[in-house]
Amino acid sequence: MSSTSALEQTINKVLSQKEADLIGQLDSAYQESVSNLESSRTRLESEYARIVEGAKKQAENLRRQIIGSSRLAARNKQLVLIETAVNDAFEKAKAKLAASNKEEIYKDLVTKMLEDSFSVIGSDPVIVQCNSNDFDLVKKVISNVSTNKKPGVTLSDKPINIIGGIRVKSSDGSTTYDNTLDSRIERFKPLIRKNIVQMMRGEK
Amino acid sequence: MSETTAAGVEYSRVAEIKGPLMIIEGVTKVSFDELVEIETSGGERRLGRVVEVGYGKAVVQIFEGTTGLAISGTRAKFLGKTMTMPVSQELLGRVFDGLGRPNDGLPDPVADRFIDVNGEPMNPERREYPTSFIQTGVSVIDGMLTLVRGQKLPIFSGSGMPHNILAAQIARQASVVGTKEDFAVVFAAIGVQYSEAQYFKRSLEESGALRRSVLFLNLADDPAIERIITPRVALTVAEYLAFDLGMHVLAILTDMTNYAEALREISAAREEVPGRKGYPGYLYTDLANNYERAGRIKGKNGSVTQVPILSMPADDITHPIPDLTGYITEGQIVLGRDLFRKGIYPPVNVLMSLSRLMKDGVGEGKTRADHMEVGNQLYDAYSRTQEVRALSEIVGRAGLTGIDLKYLDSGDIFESQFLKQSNDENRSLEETMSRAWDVLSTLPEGELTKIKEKNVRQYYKGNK
Amino acid sequence: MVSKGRIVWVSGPAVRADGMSSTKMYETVEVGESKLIGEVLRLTGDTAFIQVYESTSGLKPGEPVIGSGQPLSVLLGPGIIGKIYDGIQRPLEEIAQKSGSFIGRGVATTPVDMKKKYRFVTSLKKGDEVSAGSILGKVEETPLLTHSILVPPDHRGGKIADISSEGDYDIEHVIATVEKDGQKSELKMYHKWPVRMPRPYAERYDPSVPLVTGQRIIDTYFPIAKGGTGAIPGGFGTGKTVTLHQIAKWADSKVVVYIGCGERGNEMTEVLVEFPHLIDPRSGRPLMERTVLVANTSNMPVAAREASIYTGVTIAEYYRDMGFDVVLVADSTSRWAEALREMSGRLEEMPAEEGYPSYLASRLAEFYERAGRVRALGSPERAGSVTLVGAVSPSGADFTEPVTTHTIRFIKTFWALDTRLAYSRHYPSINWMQSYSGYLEDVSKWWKENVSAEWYDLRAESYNILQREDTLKEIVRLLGPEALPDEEKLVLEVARMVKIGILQQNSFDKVDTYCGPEKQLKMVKLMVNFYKEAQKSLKEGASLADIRAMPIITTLLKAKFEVPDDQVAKLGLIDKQMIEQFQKVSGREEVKVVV
Repeated sequence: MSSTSALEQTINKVLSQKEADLIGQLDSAYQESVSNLESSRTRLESEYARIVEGAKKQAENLRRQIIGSSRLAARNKQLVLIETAVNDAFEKAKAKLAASNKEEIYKDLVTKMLEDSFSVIGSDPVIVQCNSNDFDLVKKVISNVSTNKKPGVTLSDKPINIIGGIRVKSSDGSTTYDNTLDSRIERFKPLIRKNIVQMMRGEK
Repeated sequence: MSETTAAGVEYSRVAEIKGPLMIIEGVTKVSFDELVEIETSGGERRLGRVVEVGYGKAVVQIFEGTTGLAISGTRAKFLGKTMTMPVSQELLGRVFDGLGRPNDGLPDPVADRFIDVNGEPMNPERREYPTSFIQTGVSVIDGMLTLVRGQKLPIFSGSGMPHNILAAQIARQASVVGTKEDFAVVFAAIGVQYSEAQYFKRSLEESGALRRSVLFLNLADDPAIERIITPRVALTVAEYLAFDLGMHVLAILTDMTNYAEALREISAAREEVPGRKGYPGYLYTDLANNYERAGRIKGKNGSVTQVPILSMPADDITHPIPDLTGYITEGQIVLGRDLFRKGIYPPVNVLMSLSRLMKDGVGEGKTRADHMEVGNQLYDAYSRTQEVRALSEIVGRAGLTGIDLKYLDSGDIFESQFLKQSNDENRSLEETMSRAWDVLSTLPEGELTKIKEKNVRQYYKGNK
Repeated sequence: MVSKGRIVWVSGPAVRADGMSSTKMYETVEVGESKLIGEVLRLTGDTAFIQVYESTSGLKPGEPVIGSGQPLSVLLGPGIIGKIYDGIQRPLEEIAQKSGSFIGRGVATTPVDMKKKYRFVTSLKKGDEVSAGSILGKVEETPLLTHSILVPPDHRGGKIADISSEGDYDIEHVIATVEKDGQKSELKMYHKWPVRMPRPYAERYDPSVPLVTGQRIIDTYFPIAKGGTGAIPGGFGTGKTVTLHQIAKWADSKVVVYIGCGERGNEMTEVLVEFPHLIDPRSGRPLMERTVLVANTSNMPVAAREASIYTGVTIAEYYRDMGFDVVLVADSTSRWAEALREMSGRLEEMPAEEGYPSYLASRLAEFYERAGRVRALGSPERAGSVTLVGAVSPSGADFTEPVTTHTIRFIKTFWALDTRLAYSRHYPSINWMQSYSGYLEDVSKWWKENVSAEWYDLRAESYNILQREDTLKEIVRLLGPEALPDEEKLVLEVARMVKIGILQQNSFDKVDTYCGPEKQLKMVKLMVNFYKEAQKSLKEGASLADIRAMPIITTLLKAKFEVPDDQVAKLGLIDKQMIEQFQKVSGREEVKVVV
């Protein structure tokens, strides 16, 4: 018995020692885990706060983005609408112009257009083009100008599809002086769009 | 030349086409700098500009390039005006191409005015000297390279480095301390890749800044010669927003190297005598005509602050483009390959960087009394660090003195705590200054020779 | 006869016109319907090649060109001081009044206010003899400057037939009538002078008086003499402009002409904002009362940039002729050279190096030759000087490029700015090993007589420390500082102190921005004394670590900020503290030192 008990005692002793160790270890592990928990809680909290902060930031960004882009989208839609209206106005004006009866003042205008073209094209003979409506009028102007100022002006017998005005070409075709009402309106367009828009908005 | 509705003259006698140039004969009444519309036999239209005229000949530079143009069948219409940009408040939120034409599917803007894109030189007597601090939330800029309203401060970068990320961060975060005014952003992409332009656009979109931005996009696959015009239209709009509408404008131009290359192409086609590296002798003047379109004007509210970006070919700061730019701009922010490789963002090589107007934008009553001195001391310390680092490569740490070792430490802390930050981190000036003192406090007090006694006593955190 | 021609060709600032056979070289002409100002650069047959001083956008062949019969000239008379001009003497303030914040074209102005009245005083009377350059009388131009009304230098002189008595007159008023050989000529308070022609003088003197700038590295180490020439080359960011501003602010000259030639707009604005508030340390008056600005910024027309240098130097010579010391700073001559290159290219001349014209060197020589200390023409006898300082902006900071290399041939003081110093924020970043001054011996007499007999030696001793450091640095680079004996480590330490305490100067610090000759000398003396004392202490067994730990070092380094110019006696106290601390370090007995 004694030897056994001695052995047992030793074993017990070792065991209890181990147990104490274990308990101690467990205890310190527990303590550690508590403190770990504690610290991880603060870490978690700060992490949580950070996530919340990040989400807030993101939400704020999103909010700004949504407000920004929806305002922009609305504005852009408006721009398109205005543009359609402006184009309508232009088309109507053009149609009106094409249909209108051209009077004496128009004859002077064509004369001036023709004379202008001489200074650009120089001494070469020129060919004049116009639409079928103005054919007779331009012919008259040319015959006036030809006798007075410059020979070698011929009227092209092929009418071109324009609202009005003339197009003058040098005989070799290398220089074209475009004085059609169409091209004038095109060049005018950017300048008078502002006026049209202001009128539509009732600002003028 | 003002906007005109007089008749346009069309010529079809093309004598020569070379490079981006077209020479037209038999012209009269054509003026220098006049805008020209080219029509190909197929009906395609391109824009050009008269660069030389005389003896019946006009030399026209075609923005979209001459590819596909033929001697016969091509017609040139002289428009009787110089190139203009239609401007109005409605430009905000719009996207245009490199010549200022709508690129967002929306109609032409209804113009308040048409402004010559070349601009006119600002009268130096009427300039207001820039003195208002812009907080960018980026420590290295706010602390050492302060940006001031009306300044032109370029970013010198190299291929692959995050200059666009930094520029976008500045655009998002820039604020004038003490006011609620937001910056309007004018962004000109000059020959950059689609993805880079897109990154910038998205960044503005996400921060809700797109509706106070105007974008001009000439991308890498867009015509090269168009790039001559891109910064000009952008700056014309910037000046209008600033001086007609009274807004504070941040103009970002990227990448000016592509601009200079387009200029070189034209110069070569004109057979001009080249200066350095084939760039024309007037590169300096030409760049200045763009960069000087920044500033403030007496009696007007707005300002144009310019941040041009350029990539240094082979990271070489002595290359003519960064070199001449540096002579014109009020400082430079240089990105460094070493820091970039180390993974530090923003990789600003502070020793090569400089803000000339910092002294006027900081200090008592504007930011903080110690701001300038701290900036100078950081420079001094970091430059000492670099010397010691080079030395320790050779002699090892053992060959260094105690004070040398302190400088090594301060340099590491400078890079990791002060310089480095994330690209969505917006630091207050107080935080930046506090981080700066953390760096300086690793050094003995006696080393702080650039800081006044009084400020050292107030802010120094190290052992006395 | 005035020529009238027509434009036949336009390309940028270059225009060709026909029908100009009666035009003279360098005549100014009105170009086009908007009357842009141009200058004739070449004549071939009846075609004139014209450089236009304003933007030519919109100009077309066929428009008229009208000659003026006059070469490009400046108007010289009271009213110039305090003004800011463009490159061809048009006042920017008046341009702004007419065309707004941006510079328009074809704006007609007069260089000075022709209606402003000045109080004219004279001691001359009818019958007195005057010659070219003589002083007719005086008016107060600014509280700082009494302006002499001169007989034009190309005038034949003669007897005074009539002269106005003391009174208030505008400058168009005929102030005197001079008669010679029965011919009378009327003189006003101003005359015109062609900018490309140097104004004549009676005799040239050797420069011997230093231009005191209050900048330590300039005055003590690389001085420039009144009437001398200097160049300051440097890459961007090295502080050329700041250094030039410092010279313009603090130089002890009577008049400063500042030319902003192809530089930044904001820099000119800075001068305009700052100078009216800065007080001249000698007269107590605002600096603007002695300053003239010529501003042709980088974005202003390039041809006017070429002219701006000549406009500026002619104005400088005019004030010299009154008997004043004038400093002219030109920032930057490289941009002027580029303007020359651009025009040369358009003239299709054969280029030399880097596209610059072959006459670049001779033009630079002509410009710097207009510096000098002279006896002015006419009576009474008086001496004046023009000191020329030009910035050079070498591309890529490469000093072997043409503008730098040619400039070096014609100047005597060379302040080389160093990019590496600038990167480490050592300002002014003037490299003390590369820079030199050809006036050192000439001005040492002045220092000896006016400041101290020790100047020359102290300068040499302190400079010697820097030179030794330069040699030692090589060894340190290879072996580290610990490889050196203490004696040599001390050299490094003192060199560092000289660099921080003396060479570095903060132009933005209220005290440090200006350092008078006496303070300069005393500071150098302190450093030299420190070195001698430290050597002694080392020999007596003190350790280098103890010396390095001496609190006096910080005091020495900060003395430049802490001791204002009017309290230089405080430097004596620092010297006393220094001696005491050395006694402690080397364990010597305390001895009472009498200062």
